[in-house]
Amino acid sequence: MEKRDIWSTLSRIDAKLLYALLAVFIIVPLIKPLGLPMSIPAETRAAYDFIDALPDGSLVLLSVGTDPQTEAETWAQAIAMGRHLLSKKCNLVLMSVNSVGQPYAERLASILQEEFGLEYGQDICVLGFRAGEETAVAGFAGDFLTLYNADYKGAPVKELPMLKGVSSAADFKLIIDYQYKASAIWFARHVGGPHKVPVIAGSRASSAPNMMPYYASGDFKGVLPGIQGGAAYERLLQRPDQATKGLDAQSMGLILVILSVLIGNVATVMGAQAKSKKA
Amino acid sequence: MAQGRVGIFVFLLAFLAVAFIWMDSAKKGKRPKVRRIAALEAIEEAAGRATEMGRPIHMTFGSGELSAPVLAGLQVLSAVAGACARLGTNLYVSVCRSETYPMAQEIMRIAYAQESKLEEYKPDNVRFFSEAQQGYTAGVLELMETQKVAGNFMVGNMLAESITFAETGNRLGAIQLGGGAADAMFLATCDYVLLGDELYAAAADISGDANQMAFLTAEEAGKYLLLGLIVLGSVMTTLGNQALVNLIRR
Amino acid sequence: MFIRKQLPVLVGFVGGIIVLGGFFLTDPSLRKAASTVVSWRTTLAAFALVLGAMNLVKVNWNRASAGKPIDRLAGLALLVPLVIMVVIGLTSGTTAKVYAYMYDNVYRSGAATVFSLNAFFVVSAAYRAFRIRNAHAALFMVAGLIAVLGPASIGAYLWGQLPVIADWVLKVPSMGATRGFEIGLALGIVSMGARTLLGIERGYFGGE
Repeated sequence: MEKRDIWSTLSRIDAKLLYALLAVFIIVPLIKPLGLPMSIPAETRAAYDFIDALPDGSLVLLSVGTDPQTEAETWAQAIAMGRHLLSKKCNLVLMSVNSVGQPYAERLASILQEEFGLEYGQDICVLGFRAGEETAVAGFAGDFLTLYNADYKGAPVKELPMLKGVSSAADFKLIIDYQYKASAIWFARHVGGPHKVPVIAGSRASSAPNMMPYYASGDFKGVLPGIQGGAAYERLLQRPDQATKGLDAQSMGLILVILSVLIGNVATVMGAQAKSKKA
Repeated sequence: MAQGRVGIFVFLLAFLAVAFIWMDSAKKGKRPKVRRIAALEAIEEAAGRATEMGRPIHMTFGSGELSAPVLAGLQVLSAVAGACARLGTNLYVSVCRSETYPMAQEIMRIAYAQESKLEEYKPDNVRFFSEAQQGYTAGVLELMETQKVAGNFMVGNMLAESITFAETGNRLGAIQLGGGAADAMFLATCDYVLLGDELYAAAADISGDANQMAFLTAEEAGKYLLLGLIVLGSVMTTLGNQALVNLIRR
Repeated sequence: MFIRKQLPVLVGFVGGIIVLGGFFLTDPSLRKAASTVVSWRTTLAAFALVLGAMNLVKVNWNRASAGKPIDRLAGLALLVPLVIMVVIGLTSGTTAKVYAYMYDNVYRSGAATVFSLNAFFVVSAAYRAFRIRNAHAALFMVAGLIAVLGPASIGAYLWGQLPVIADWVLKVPSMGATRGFEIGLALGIVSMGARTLLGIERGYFGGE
């Protein structure tokens, strides 16, 4: 009788207990990092190698689609890749395809400017936001300087020293997109294909499977899947930061998911066996 | 013709040709046969159960932009609103996109009018919460919890909020139907799922219109055509022949 | 009757043909027209936003004015920040420090909090759904566990080959299934779009 009660209890654990356990499993590694081992996805290494092979001083577009819910995954990617690009003295043009991402683009520019002592307009700039999502990307591809004619402060883009001589999207040596909906796919479709500009996708973990067909076909030169991609990139740069800390917490959360699934299944099977024995 | 679009254009023409042929057949009495979609039976079941329990039904279209899944979801709304009007069940509809809000209201109003229950139609039962995904999520959660919904329909451009809504509905003991972008989540959490293009088939099925069914047949024909192209293309590419690939890329 | 039934279909058809033309053809004026038609959507959405906001304010004003204390609190919790942000945005602009402060410390924090609920719900959903009831469910569970563990650092810690297997699952069977699924979905979208453009599908505006 007792054994059956145990299996019955374990197969119907109150969700609130699971939630409490999850909170503990996540908070502990954030306070005290566990240093769990990590693997570096091949597509993240491909992104790193591609950027490493860029000629110094290349013009690169960063499309920052980060919003509060994806910040934990793509923000760390943006910081890490920004550092790598600036170590190669690349000129960075930042933009956003969503209004919520625009403040993130401005903040990223501000962080990188401070860290690397950059001069706005010479080494880095932020384009003004244009509504339309994929339509805005198509507009960028078709007539970049007409649609994005001013930076986020309203200054004419044509007067920025770093964009003198730039006439179209094809002048960019690389586009890195930090996911907003399917923004990386929009860039591959409108800019990557027609103008042959390489694209790297920084995506959420849940969207990474959708990016793989594009990576496999060569439309993307690399993909950073979620927080793991960010942590892997930080490992390659040998500069652990936010993503590395967050990955431990994510791993512990996943351990709880696995444990709860295993416990639920063992309890279901054992409970059924106990029932049939009794019968 | 724009570069890389000839293949798509030819396919679209072929698709429309098949659809028009079937539409013509339907006019002559030969209606395409479509299997009944089990998930649609959930609508009447949920509405009936909700009436017995004295609890409302909730429907939402997700935080994704107004697109084909949302249009299909609006068609499903017409069936849900009709069932609720018929059985006297309270229906709440929550929207994230402002442009969906007047459409949902109009569809509900017409559904109630068709059931001669226009006096029971409450325009304020269509709720706009926020264009921001998390504001919308918080609003819907609050609505579901305070109203203790007995049925939860999530059909449209459902994104990350789908698991939140589905688990909340599950905890409330609601019958749940899911369809749209988050099918994987719905398979794990909902009682009924409109999987993949079943969503669009459901929209056609609900309308009962033979012309819409004709387009379903064109979809099936399109699948067979693409399957054939995949097999042929795989064999040719394996043998080193890129002719088909180059033709499609034109 | 024309305005309610035929005009929406006509407007949709003309707009859709222009956009399709801009997609397939290279004529610059057609592409510009297509771009203009698509941008009108933003304008329409802005008008619809006013309707939605009015509904939001009306419902929450009613809650804040009458009802249980908790309902009044909920109504005020929406209305007060709404008014504050609108006033700040209109008077100081959206680039002002106070607006940025409210955005960073109220909106961002709140949005991240609500989004983090997903993590809790994933655990309870996995616990409830991943049960071996039959062969399909068992396969579902195994695939789910591989997909979860493989990319995570803990997967490599538990078994070195797990990331390799997960990578293969992601790039071969999963990608194949995803591609097949998306082909079906794309055909459904084409069908839906064609039905809408041709006025055969009228459910979205309540038409018969």
